[in-house]
Amino acid sequence: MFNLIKLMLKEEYRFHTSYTSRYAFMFFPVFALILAFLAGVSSSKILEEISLKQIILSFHLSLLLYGMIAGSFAFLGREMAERRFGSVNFMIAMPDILPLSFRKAFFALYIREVAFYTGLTILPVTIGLLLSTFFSSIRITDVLLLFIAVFLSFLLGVSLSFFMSSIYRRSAKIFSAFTGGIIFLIFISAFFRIPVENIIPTVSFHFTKSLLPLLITIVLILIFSALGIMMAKEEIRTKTKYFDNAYPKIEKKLVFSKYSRLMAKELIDIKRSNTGVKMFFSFLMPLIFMTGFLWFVEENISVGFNSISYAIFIGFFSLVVYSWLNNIDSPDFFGFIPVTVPDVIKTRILIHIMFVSFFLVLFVPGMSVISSEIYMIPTALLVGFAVSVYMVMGAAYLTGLRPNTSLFNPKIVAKFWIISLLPQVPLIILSLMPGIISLFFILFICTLLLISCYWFYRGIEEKWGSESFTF
Amino acid sequence: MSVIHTENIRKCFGEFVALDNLNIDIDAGDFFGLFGPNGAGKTTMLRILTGQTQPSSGEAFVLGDNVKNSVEVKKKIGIVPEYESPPSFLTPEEFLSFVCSVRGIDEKNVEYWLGFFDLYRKKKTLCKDLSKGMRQKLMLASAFIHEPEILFLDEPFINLDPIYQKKIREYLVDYVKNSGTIFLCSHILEIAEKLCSKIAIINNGKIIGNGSLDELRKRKDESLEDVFCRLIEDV
Repeated sequence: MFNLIKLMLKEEYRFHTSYTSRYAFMFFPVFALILAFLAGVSSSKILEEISLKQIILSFHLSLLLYGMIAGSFAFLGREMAERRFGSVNFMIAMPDILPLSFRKAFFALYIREVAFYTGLTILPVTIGLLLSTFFSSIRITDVLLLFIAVFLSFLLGVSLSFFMSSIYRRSAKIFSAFTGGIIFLIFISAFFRIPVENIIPTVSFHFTKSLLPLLITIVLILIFSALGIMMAKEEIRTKTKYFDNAYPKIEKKLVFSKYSRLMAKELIDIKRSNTGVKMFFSFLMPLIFMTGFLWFVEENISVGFNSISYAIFIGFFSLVVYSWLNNIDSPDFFGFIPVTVPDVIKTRILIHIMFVSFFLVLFVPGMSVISSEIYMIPTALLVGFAVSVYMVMGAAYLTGLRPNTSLFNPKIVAKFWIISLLPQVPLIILSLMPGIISLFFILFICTLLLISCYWFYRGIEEKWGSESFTF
Repeated sequence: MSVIHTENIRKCFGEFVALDNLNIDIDAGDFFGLFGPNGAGKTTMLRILTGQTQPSSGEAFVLGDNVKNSVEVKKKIGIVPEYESPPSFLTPEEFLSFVCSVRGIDEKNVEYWLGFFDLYRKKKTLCKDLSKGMRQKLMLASAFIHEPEILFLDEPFINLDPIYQKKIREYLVDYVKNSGTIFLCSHILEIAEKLCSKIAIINNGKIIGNGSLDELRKRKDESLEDVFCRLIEDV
């Protein structure tokens, strides 16, 4: 088992470094360490603006979400075992050809995810904070407690994802019911204003340092991970389904687009791979997290978040849609027909815009109604649309068909943060200041964003024109 | 007339030189076979000629187009890759419809090729649920469907049963008779020997033998396998 985990860790490392240089990849944890160190050193200044409780809570919510995202690769584990990822094969597929149970491989994958992402971010951040204790009033014991507590939040997220992925493999209906139950609980908690520490035991442990929430956390982690691994399906073949030729009909409906041929194929992929459902939930999760976070911040310090701020965040989070679109299938076969990488990127951008427009129309008016800001709906929709289109164009320009793996390249990450923060920070600040002047500036920035989109769109051709499809 | 022409093609992956100044000329109607040990550079060469990857230096032309203009090249050629990788969530029928649509040709040939490769009974099954052999047949169908001027085939007989190996052999012979050109990479030398009119042997990224089988033979009774082994051992 130890060897298997070691090999999987090597595989993950080499998989990531195959897209960037080894040094560039290693810079990622160093960057996290430096950032944490600087945050620690300037902690007294930060604490003047935000309370310690809020910072701790943000840490836990972020790590829980981070764990869920890291664990969500478990959803892909089975798919990777079922088919080669282009010309690349993964260790998780070894049970097919070696006397090794899939559950054992799945367990190794679980340990790998925890070890890899802890080493990549949590550990460097902790070291950075520990180093900062020499230059600030932060105590070493506080940092160690923070490390243990947030690590448990991360583990809870990973375990929950593994558990959910196993349920999903067994029954999509039970999965939907379970997810619906979690969402319902979150809403009930928000509605009755139940403190977060009463819902997430790791937060409670952090605040109270008592044993009971720690025990509950450990039990939950064990139950989720054990059930997740025990319920992992051993058999390789899924039920074979049969489909009539849907391609020509869908293509005809899309004649308005220059990329109708590729769009039709992508839409069939999305439907049959259940990516639409995955996109919806992975879009919903950060939204729920964000809604809770905004609600919490608003409760403690009345900042003035409104539907426009919400739409800006939706625009930012919409990137998960583009990320999913690039995870459905290997793009290898595009290399054998007369299409280019920019053709496929642009097709996926168009599909992204279609889906996100739908999500915007679904969520923004709802949020405006709840917040009694119906008059803000048109502006919020426009802002959400402009930000989401700008974000996807920027991400597509920077990362092409590999948005996930590129995020481990510090150069790309730095550029990504510059292009995303540059317009979003002023937009959020302006959204907090009601009035005709701020509205004018918001619309002005949105216009600039849409103009920049044109620049990115044209740049895609130049940047990715000679790129190969091979994974 | 030369339909494939390369000038000092070199391809490096980091410090590793996969192809070292290769010069190849293939005429219209040639059945050209590129052979070599594992990792010799055959697939890399095929990928460069089909515009799937760019050379580090040198130029390559296919039907007069520089391979840098990959879309124009791919319009005129058919490619069967080393790994059978049709899109997972399309059915064989949809995949061929998609290929026809992208290539801007009529879909009338879809039924014919489904029948030719005995894929008709699987036409509603997702490609990810097909056997390796079925997927290979589908990749062959997608390369043949637009009747290209040149076929680039990387191990086309792998995963095929003997009946279909024979059927494909016969199809390829007819295709060349009708002025098609073939660029074949394969390890199955017995089949290649029967088919190829021109041969090149590649080792460590360099061409170590080039010409017809007769030109490469030292003795009259030497098979392609004997020639291959001799040339590789001589290096």
